[in-house]
Amino acid sequence: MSVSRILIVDDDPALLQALPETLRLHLEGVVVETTHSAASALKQIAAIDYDAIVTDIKMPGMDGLALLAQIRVLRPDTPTLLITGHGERDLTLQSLRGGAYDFIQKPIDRDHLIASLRRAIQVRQLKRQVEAQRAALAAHATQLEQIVQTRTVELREAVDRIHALTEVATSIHAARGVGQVLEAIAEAAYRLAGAEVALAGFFRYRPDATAGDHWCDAAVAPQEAALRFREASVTPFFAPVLELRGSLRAEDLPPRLLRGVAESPLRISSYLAVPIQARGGQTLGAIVLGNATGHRFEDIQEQIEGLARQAAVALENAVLYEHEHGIAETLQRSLLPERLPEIPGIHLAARYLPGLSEAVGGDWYDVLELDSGQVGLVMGDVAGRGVWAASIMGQLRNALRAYALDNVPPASIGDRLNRFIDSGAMATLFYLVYDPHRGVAHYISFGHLPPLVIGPDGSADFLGIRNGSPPLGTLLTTPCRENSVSVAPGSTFLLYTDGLVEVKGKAIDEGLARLKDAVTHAYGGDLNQLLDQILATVLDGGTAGDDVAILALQASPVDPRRLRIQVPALPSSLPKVRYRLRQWLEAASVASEDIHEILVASGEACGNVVAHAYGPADGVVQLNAELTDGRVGISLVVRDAGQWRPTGSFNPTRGTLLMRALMDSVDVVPGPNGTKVQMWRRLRGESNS
Amino acid sequence: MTAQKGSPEGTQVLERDGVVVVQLYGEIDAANAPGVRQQLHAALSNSSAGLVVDLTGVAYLDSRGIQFLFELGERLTMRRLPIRFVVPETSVIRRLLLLTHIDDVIPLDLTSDAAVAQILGGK
Repeated sequence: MSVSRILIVDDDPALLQALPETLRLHLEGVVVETTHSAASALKQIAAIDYDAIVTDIKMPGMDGLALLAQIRVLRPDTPTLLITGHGERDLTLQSLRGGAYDFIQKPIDRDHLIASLRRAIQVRQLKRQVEAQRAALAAHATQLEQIVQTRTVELREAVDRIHALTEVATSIHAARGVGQVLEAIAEAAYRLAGAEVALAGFFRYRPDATAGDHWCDAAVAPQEAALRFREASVTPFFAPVLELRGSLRAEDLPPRLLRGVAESPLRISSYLAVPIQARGGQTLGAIVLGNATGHRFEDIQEQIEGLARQAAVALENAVLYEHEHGIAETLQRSLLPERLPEIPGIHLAARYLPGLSEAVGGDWYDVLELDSGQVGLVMGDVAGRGVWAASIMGQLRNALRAYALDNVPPASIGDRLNRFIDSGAMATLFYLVYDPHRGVAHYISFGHLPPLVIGPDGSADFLGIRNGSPPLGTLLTTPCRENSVSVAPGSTFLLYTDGLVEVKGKAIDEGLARLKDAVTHAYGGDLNQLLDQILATVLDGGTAGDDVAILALQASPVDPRRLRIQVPALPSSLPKVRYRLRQWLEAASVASEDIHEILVASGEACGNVVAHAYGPADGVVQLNAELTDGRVGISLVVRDAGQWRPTGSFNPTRGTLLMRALMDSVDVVPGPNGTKVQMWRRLRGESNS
Repeated sequence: MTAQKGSPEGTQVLERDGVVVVQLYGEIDAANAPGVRQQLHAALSNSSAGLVVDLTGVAYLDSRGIQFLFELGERLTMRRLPIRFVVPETSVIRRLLLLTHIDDVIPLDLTSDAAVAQILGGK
């Protein structure tokens, strides 16, 4: 047990001498100190925490009661005993009220004093223990609280990190294409590390390629840093990864490489580079962190290495994705007509708009020049996207072309395609054969949206499909049946894929109504303008969600008095000119023997243009035919836009001779802009057929 | 009669008593004359007694096609193979052929029977 200290305050020197001795004798382990005045007592009490204080009441200067009051302020827990005179009942009461622990009456009863003091010391010591325990408890509570706080912070940081990593993973794996993936990685590294700048690079070519930006695609985060990099090269940041192995910090770099990093626009002093490695071990790229000051990235390295592992998977996927996307795009583009054929008497226009989706769709259109001047229009849409859809589209397109050019009727083509299509593939298809000579169109539809027909007066209506089939690939048993419609000259067919009229969350009827409305209000210009107006109105200036293909054919109105034809100066144009001219002559009721000879003469003139007028560059041949003098004769003018040389590789004399033999007059008029052949012939009479 | 339109070229090859009869259809112009020439030469063999080219079905013939017919006549004459063309009165190309005097080089008949009979009789 510890020593108890007692202070006795009294102005009576005899008592001060006797009492300590008595107390030492009867109380074990006490140290008794004495003082003769309240003032000096206060000094000692301020310095020492006594276990008990005994004080006389009547003292010169400050008396015992005043001292008691001071003690209560100074040491509220220290028990204080007051010594009072015999019978001083008031003082006794006052001292008790003033907070005295006990009072001792003079003459001092030794046993009473000792017993009281012993109790006082015990109480004091118990109080001390309680106090100490309370303090210990409080300290413990504080400590606990601190621990909880620390743990909470750590937990929150851990949760944040997990959140960040999850977000990072999501953003990295949601990204398509190398560029987007790199941006996601740079942003993730920037946020995870709290670095001033983060870079993500992808080495496009072999890592041992000579330095220079061309081998490295890079993304920089944050935006401000990226702006500062615009002019400067990112190469020095990635160069160390290509020359050295593993994760690198500034201190790992030889001075040459360090200089490159330090002299960047960001004045980097702290540097961490973590290679992004493929499963095969080759270095795909790297994540680089940089700080101009302080932070050395030691604590973050492990996390960045984790990020690099995720980045590797995402980059490999991105490369595969780009590869596939490239193949699909090339495939699909190669299957669309590079340009539409030029067919006399028919206007054609088409548009293809890729949708928002990154994967290529399976929309296609085609225009086929068939025998007897008929024209085939194809509009199809393979369900699905990417390389697979594009390849199915290619198969269908080529099969349809082959059958159509072999004069297979539309319904039979439909049946064959239905047997031909790969199992598992599905496609909608609309195929129409327009016969300008008979003014009729035959068509089949496999679940395709109905084309719009715009009459010569501008009225628009959807083409009726009574004998429709379900999409190709869905039902093999139903035989395909043909529809037909008569076509007034000047009519326009508008074929399209569903991307034009399908708006997510809206009924298809609404889209169809919009299209019809757009066509009704847009009509009036040339066919290309019409398509542009339709697209602008229906898509409302935005990009379609899905791919949009649109193909239009306009049957030119026939002028019974005159005919104008312009075609490319190519051998393959000659039958087209012949066909168109024959059609016009027949419509004008010209006799068949006249027709044949007019065809031969104009064919010779056009053939000469094709054979001689042009070099390797594109040129055109123009034919104007006109019935003159009230159908007495026909005037033909064949024109080119080059220098017609009247000698050539094949017997030109026979051609010229034929023209002169078949026509009543033939004049060859060379001009600065080309040569003009003017011919005139008297007609023999009305056709009797 | 409505002139036969359409397919630019078509050939049908028959053999009658050693005489090769080739029927041509459609249009013969600069674009397809080389192909027609190939088909005709393929139809002939060393044992052929002669060639009849039936032009009844030809709806169009231009100077290149006429040149081709002249060349054909010259070649076969050099090979001492008799050749005759069949061109009925109603043929749209009859006037054209007469205009070019092809009948000075190659005899014309109205039917393929007559043409075959002429070749076999002239043997």
